[in-house]
Amino acid sequence: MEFDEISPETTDETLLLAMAQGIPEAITVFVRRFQRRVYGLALMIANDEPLAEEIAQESLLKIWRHAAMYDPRRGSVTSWVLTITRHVAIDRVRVRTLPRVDPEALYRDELQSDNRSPEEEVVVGDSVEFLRYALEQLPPEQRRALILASFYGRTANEIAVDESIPLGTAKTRIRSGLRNLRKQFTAEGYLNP
Amino acid sequence: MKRFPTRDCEYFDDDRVAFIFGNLDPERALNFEQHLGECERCRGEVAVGSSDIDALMLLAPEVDPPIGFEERVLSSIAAEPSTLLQNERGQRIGELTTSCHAPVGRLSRRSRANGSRHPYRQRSRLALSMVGVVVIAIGSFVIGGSVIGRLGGSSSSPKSVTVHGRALAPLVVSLTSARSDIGSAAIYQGSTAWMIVDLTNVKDRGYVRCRLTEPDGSAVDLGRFFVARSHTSWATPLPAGWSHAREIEIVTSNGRVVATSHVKL
Ligand SMILES: [Zn+2]
Repeated sequence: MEFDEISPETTDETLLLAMAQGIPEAITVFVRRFQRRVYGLALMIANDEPLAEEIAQESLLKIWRHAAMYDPRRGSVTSWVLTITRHVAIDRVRVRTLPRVDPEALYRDELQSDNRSPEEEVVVGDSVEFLRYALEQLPPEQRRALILASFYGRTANEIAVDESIPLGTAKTRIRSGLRNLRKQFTAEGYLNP
Repeated sequence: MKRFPTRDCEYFDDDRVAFIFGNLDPERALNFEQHLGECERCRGEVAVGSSDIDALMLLAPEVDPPIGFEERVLSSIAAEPSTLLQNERGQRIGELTTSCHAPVGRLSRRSRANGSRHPYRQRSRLALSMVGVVVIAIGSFVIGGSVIGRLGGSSSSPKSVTVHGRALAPLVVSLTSARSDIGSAAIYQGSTAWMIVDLTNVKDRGYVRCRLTEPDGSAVDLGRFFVARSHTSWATPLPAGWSHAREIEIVTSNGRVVATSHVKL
């Protein structure tokens, strides 16, 4: 593979391989391809533009540094990229005072919205429809708990405080949310790992 | 002898959930990780739960970053002095100067020794020989850490591969589900054999496992792959002795078979 072949059509996996080898074109194409997605998730979690930019930048640096560690057998590049972003974001947000979040508003305004680029629709289109549907099927209190725990890294204790509910109830909601999400995935043919 | 977990899984119920969400406190995490090392059931639950949470992240909207963001990211990458190349187990396998604009640095001795006027390309070639990770995608063909050729042909027809300028024809078997054709597996033989799976008509979405069924009915797991759309491809190295296998199977974790080769390999 000659590296001047790196182009916007290069697959995500090949880009990562080339990035692991320090190929500048690959880094540029990769950043260009994933920045909106990384920044979008960072902004959703941080709810603060300057902090979201720091998170997105740190995530992309981390992805670049660890590109050689990506294992295609464990999932898609997009999922790997977003998992790293989520971890960076949660770490960064947690050192600050936890922002108040309204998981239902987030669900309504962000997770249910359809402001994806046509390019992104091609990549994740039917998966997203699937995920939206699965989340929609959960009882609202379980959905809220799941959103708080997954997007914001909230612990059961913090969810109990946020939602003014006993700790045991918070734990049950998170666990049931997770279990019911899996049930939806299984029932709707969203395959298991 | 089978090893039993030191404590009941129920004891770790809360920890397991917190671990999946990545917010288990570090002290408890140590304890739980020890249990995880011994308990297949918890490992399974963590794997499923984590991948479900990872999948949810796809719902986050795409947002344009502030003006100049891309340049700032690229210059911070360029400013990094060097990075360690690691294989997938995290073992260090080499060091590479990756600054986009900086001199070749640590690797320059070799570049100069080779009399290269293109240190960048030299660096790339050296890096290739060091990378132990076997990442492959349709479009390039990597064996034993070196790119040896490229795949040609359309994704739905049998592909040829050019290795050091010589064309190699793969062994192609079709993959079927309920007797209908849903893709193909192309096997490229060599010192390491590779298989490229190309699914063209799959309705399900999510993770699948790909495996080889041995003549005695046992299975060799080739890894987990993500089916994100009806047309999905992946590549995987094959273990030695692959040619004795009976068939290729693509299955969900419930064991539901999504596709089989239905042909003796
Ligand atoms: Zn257990």
